[in-house]
Amino acid sequence: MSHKILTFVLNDPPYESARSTTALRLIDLAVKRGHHVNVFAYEGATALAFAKQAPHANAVHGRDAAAEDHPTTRDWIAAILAEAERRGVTVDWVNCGLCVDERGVSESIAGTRRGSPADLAKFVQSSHNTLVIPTR
Amino acid sequence: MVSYLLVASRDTHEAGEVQDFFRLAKRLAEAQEQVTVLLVQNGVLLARAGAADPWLGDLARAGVTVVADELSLRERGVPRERLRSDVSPVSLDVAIDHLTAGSKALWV
Repeated sequence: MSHKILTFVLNDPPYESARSTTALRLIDLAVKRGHHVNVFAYEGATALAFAKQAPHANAVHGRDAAAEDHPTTRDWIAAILAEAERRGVTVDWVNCGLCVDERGVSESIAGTRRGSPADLAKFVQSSHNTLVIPTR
Repeated sequence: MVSYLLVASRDTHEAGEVQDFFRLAKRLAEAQEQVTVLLVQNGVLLARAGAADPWLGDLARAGVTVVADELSLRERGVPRERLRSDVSPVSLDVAIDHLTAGSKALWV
């Protein structure tokens, strides 16, 4: 199988839109099919891998945090990165630095990095294809 | 002939630009390009057999291949037997297939 390089451009913040879930499904699928993936996260998407996301309890339903088992996008992304490493493919996840600063989400999980639109330009030039998932 | 993958994540009642997106798909097909419309998220609501929306029929008649994400259909309680006959349920592999084959991809 020929391994391709795909770039995904994300814009939506966590928990606000199903687009984030679909995007992560696509990235996960690309990794599992052995392709290298670049992700450029703009705007609210810079918070998808924010390291300080924390699951919470549900007092209305009487569940503590463990029982509520609230998923976080940072854990999903960490799982994708781990899967990529296991399969020997790369995921280069870049958060737009200015967008990070605006939102104060500079602490991103291991395996992601801060960058700029110059990184996106390089991604597009070096990829076989690019999919931009716009926000509204 | 150029291959296009157009991903529609909203239905035409949710956002006006979805109709423009479908209009683009139809015109590309009429220009003899190979066009696939992938419905995901609320876009799959258009794929229901009883949905009052003329667009998917127009797309199919123009030669556009229309497919719908299986998980999005399950999430919204749309079983296979309630789908329009001109829409096929698919996994998201179809998107990766298109991207790796070099299709030009757009998302609305």
